[in-house]
Amino acid sequence: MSQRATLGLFVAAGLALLAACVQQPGKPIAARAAEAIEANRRAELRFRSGDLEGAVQHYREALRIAQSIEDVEGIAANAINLSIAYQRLGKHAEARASLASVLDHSRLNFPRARLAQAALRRALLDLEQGRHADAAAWLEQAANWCGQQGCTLLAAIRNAEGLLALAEGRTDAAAASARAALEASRGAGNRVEAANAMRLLGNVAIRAGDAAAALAMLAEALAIDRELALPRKIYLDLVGLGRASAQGGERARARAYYERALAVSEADRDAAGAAEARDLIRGLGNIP
Amino acid sequence: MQDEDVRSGRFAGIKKKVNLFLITAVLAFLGAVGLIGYKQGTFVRHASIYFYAADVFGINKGMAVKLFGLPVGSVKTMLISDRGVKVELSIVSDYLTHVPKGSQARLLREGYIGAANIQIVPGSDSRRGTGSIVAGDVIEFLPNRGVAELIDELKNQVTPVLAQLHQAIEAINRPESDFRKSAAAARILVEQLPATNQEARKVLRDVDRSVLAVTPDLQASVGAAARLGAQAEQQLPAISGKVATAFDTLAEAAEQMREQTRRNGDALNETLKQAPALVREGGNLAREGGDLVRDGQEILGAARNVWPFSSVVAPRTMRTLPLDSFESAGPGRGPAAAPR
Repeated sequence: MSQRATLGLFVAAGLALLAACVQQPGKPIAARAAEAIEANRRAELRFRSGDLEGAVQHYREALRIAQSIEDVEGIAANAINLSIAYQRLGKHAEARASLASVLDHSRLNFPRARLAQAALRRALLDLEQGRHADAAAWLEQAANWCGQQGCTLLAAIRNAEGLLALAEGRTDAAAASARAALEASRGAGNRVEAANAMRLLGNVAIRAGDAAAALAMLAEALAIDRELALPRKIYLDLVGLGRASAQGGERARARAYYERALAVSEADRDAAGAAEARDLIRGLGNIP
Repeated sequence: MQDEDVRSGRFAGIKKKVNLFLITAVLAFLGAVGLIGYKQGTFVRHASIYFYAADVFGINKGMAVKLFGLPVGSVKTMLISDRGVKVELSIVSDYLTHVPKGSQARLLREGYIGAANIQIVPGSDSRRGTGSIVAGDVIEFLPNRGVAELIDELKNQVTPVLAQLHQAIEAINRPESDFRKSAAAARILVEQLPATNQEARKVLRDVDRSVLAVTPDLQASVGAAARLGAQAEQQLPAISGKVATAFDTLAEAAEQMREQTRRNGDALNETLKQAPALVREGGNLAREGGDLVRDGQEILGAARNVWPFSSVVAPRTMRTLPLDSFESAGPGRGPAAAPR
């Protein structure tokens, strides 16, 4: 009996070893869906290499294929990506139009998370163009679709609300939204939005004339952005730090921040940023 | 009764034998496991270094890591992080001293369908650091472009050139084009040259005759003029002869030129007739190349879905760019920028 048990144990161990090597084969992807994914991947590669026109071309192709097979995830993902690429190219009308396939008169049932993403993108477009009322409406819609529990987009929505409040001069509301965004981003482990919230709080402090608080917040935002290696954010943090220093009467320190911002924008081939940094340096005048 | 005695004799000590067999089998199994573990480097000390990649297409867990072409470790884990995908490389500790600071990792494939591996490229820039890397260090990842993208780019660059060439040849072929008009005008001009030459010779002969006719009258009226006339009379035929010879040579040259131009025109005509066909062939070749690439992609795509490749290739999904609330922020980009 003990021999049988040993033998059984031996066989069971062998079977367990075999079972450990087994892996369930993945679900095969249909050829048309694979084409859309391939176009999406190519577009992302071009987007990351800075070829925005190329990215737009491939995202449009991916969107077209996704629409031809009514792939709601694919349609939403590529429409949102297309809106980001168009916005970076300064083509706001096209960015708005690309989101229409998700937001306007669609008979497809998009997941609420996707609708919330598209609404947030629409709000950010309106915010950049100064359409504050439209931006507020889309942000409300985004928050509604996002819900409260477990929505990963909540921090970004709160930050966008803060930006809108700051643009309208409502500093208290902006600070409240930024604090809510900070809490949400920490809960979700979203460091990009955490840095955005700190930058927003720094900007609110500058508006309120509290240079010391602004410097502290912006320095924290800068530390995170440098860790995440995001040049455009580093530029914004350095400009904010320069403004806070100038506000506190430290013109030499402000100049140093602006010069760092200039170096970052030139290295990032951001002509507008470099021009703005030069203007800020000139605005300080000669420092004794 | 006798049978039972025989049977008990045959199976005497069978328990011992079976136990011995099982113990030997278990020991052999453990030995095999140990040997495999030894071969896999389980008993070798490893240290982890990291790199961040925007994406890990083509990188898999367990993929070999090579230094100067020698396997020195493997890919241990891949985790999504804020900076992209954080890839952990498990390197044999002894080799770490041979990896200088500032080294970079890149994905290397041995041929288009060959096995891929991570190659550590030792840093050559002395400014980036001295000494070797230590466990926990983060090195830079050099992303590389795929063959499909390279072909795609090449196709994008060649297609407009072919289109322009096609347009240029079509423009040359059009009857009303400037080139065709110029060629026709040149041909007419060359054809008219012999006639012009004959006219010139006729004019010269007339002049010669007139001079000969006028000379006697001039001799009678002016003595000095007569001498001059006589000299002119003597010299003019020689000059006329030389000019006539020169014009003959010119006529011959013109004839040769005409013949050569006609031949060149014929050759050009032939070339122009063949050019559209050549361009079409080039276009067909480009299309066939594109089809070949697409076929290759389809084959690879299909292979990805087949076991055992499907288990080692990460599933492909539609990707969304990160949504950023500060997307609208930036220099001169509206109210989201830092307040002034």
